[in-house]
Amino acid sequence: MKPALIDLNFAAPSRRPGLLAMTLMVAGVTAAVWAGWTYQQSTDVVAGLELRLGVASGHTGPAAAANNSRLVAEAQHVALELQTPWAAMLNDLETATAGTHGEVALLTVEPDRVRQRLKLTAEARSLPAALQYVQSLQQHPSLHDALLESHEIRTDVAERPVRVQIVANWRITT
Amino acid sequence: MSLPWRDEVGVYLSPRRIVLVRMQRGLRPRCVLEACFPVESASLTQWRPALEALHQRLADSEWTGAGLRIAVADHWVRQSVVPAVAGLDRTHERQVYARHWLAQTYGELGDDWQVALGESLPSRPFVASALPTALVAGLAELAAATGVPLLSVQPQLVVAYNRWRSRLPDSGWLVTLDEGCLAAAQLAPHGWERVHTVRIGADWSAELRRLRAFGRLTAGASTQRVFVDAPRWLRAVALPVQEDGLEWLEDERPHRSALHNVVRARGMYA
Repeated sequence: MKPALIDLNFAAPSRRPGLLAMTLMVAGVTAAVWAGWTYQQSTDVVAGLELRLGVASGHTGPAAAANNSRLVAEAQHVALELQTPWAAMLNDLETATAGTHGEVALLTVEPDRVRQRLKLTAEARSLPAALQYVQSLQQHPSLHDALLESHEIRTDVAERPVRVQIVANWRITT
Repeated sequence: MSLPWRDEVGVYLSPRRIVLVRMQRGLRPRCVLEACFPVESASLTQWRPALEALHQRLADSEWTGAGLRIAVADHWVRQSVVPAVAGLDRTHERQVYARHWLAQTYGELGDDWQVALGESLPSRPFVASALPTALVAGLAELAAATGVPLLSVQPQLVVAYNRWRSRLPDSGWLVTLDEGCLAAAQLAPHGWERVHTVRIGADWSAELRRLRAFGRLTAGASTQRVFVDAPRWLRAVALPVQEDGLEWLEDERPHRSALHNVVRARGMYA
């Protein structure tokens, strides 16, 4: 093995960077630039892949956000739909209408799912029959707070029937 | 900041001669100029005439603008191998101990001597060298005056050892010779075992024989090889009888290192 150098120097250490130091500095700067460039490239690749993944799954950018909102709304709609006690309400409406013995005919049923309310349009032979019908609705478990919202006596028909608007809340039973 | 590719001038500074080599730096450093100049001096102990001669030479355009690496002749150097002492970890402590050790050989060293230490492991002996403080300061002023960096100042024996170490065995002697001075380092696997600097007359072989006898007594070796780095003229004049085991160190190939070229040029011209 070659003996070690005797590193003995009376001169003050030079502040001049040596060739090795300069080479290392250049190599270090080059490596840093290369690392930064590679990082940027990798970031771009990841962004590209995420974009493609988003396109493939239909979730990208503002369109994806809008789509998400629509999906959420639909999901909420479905959830509310699932919570609406249609079977019980229709059964109660049928029972109440049948109980009038032809004095009241139910024309339309419009649900307001947000407020969990039904808006009914019916035609009665007389106003007392309509009021009796409203009262009978309040007797059924799936509906409560049934109110006669408006009524109109049709004079263009010989029997002068009364068309009524009834609102009633529904109950969600578990 | 200095130019990273600044040329270097290697200098051998001795009482009778100055050897200069200029290295053109770059990816492939090469020696582009070398010269030897006489120094007019009445005494081998005086270093000021050599310093003044160097100052004049470095003013020439062909030697300007290059960092300086100086090999100082062993005439003006006091040096020793300081044994390892446990607990001497700090540079200052090593300096104090080295001064104490040098004083045992050369007498007390005051502020007019500057001491430099060779780097080594704490468990290993280390080389300590002393130069006149004014000489080191003079070299620094010379470099500052000419606007070039002073890259290194080393004793000739150290320069020669660093040049030839790949050819040196684990035991033996490395000897550098110049007019009136012989410096010898006894070699060991870790570096130097001991070092001597003596004044010599015309027949330096007598001093060499004394050193070898001393080495045999202390190291117990029967025959130790002696590697001699000397100017050509001194070999012919001072060694009429061939010594056993004497090996001349010479190389005429140019080197990439300024100081290696100084060693080569000194052997050829000085």
